[in-house]
Amino acid sequence: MAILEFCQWLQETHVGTSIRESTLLFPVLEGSHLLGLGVSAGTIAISDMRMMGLIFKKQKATDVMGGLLPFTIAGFVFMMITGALLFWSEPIKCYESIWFRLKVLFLILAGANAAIFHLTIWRTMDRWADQLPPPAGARWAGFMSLLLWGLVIAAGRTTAYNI
Amino acid sequence: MVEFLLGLAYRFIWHPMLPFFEWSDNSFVGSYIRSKTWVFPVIETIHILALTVLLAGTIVINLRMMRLMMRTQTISGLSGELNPFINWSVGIMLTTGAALYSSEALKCFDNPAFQFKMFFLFLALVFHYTWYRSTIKVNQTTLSKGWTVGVLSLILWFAVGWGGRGIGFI
Repeated sequence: MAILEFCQWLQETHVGTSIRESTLLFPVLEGSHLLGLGVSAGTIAISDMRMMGLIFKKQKATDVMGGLLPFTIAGFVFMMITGALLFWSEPIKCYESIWFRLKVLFLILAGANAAIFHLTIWRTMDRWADQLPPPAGARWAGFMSLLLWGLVIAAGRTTAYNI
Repeated sequence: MVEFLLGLAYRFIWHPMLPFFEWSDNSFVGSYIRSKTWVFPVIETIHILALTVLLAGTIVINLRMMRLMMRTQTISGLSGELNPFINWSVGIMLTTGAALYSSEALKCFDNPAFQFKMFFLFLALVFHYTWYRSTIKVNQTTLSKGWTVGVLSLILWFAVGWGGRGIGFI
């Protein structure tokens, strides 16, 4: 029950309460979190589609991913900060929500998929940057990434409804 | 002055559309969505997934025009690849948006966030399929034009997004 106790403590903190009871801050945070999807999940979707050989086929995979990666990373940092603040404002609600728990699960799986990709197939990307279709490992990683981030978004949206 | 113009717009453009909003509210689509609790969330989730693709596509093209990203690619090269995805996303968002709207059309009619969103959606679509479309067909553009068109596009689409988020709050 340590997590629940942590959430209860978090709920009563000054920061959490201020965000939760604010007129402007919570809507602005939530709106930013939503619109940040374009830079984070959106650029990842473009990379994933190149990994699957569905877009930018004439460009090297290394060029596409290299060009997008700094923005993808910045986008995800932004999402983590806004997401953490949103969680901080309603930790109990999130803790008790099955949809939020599913979102966390999908986030972990998406992260694991990215980690596996970076530890394996990404290391040899120079060799298959021109290859069409890309190797099976890249296509699989791209597909799983699209699926898992889509599930993260769906679970996140449902969290707002069915808490 | 702004209030005066907004008042005119409300009187001569928005208010005359009330019969259409009433018809939408009573439509089969609207009634069906209201009748089952899970339908609205599913349609809205699709709306948000399409939003992610639309924003990603336009942001990449705009940042390229502003020379902040993907400078090794031509503008026309990027837009050629991304346009199908952007256009499909616009189509999906308009369709899912129409469905969501018809499930609560009369509420939307009185909602200032919805009015704000529709105003900017109109501007964004007109801009996107006229001046923007010709601008992104070129290989290169001047920095000033790239920034003007790119920033304008970002402002318009983000205004639509913020308006959309505001609908639930007001």
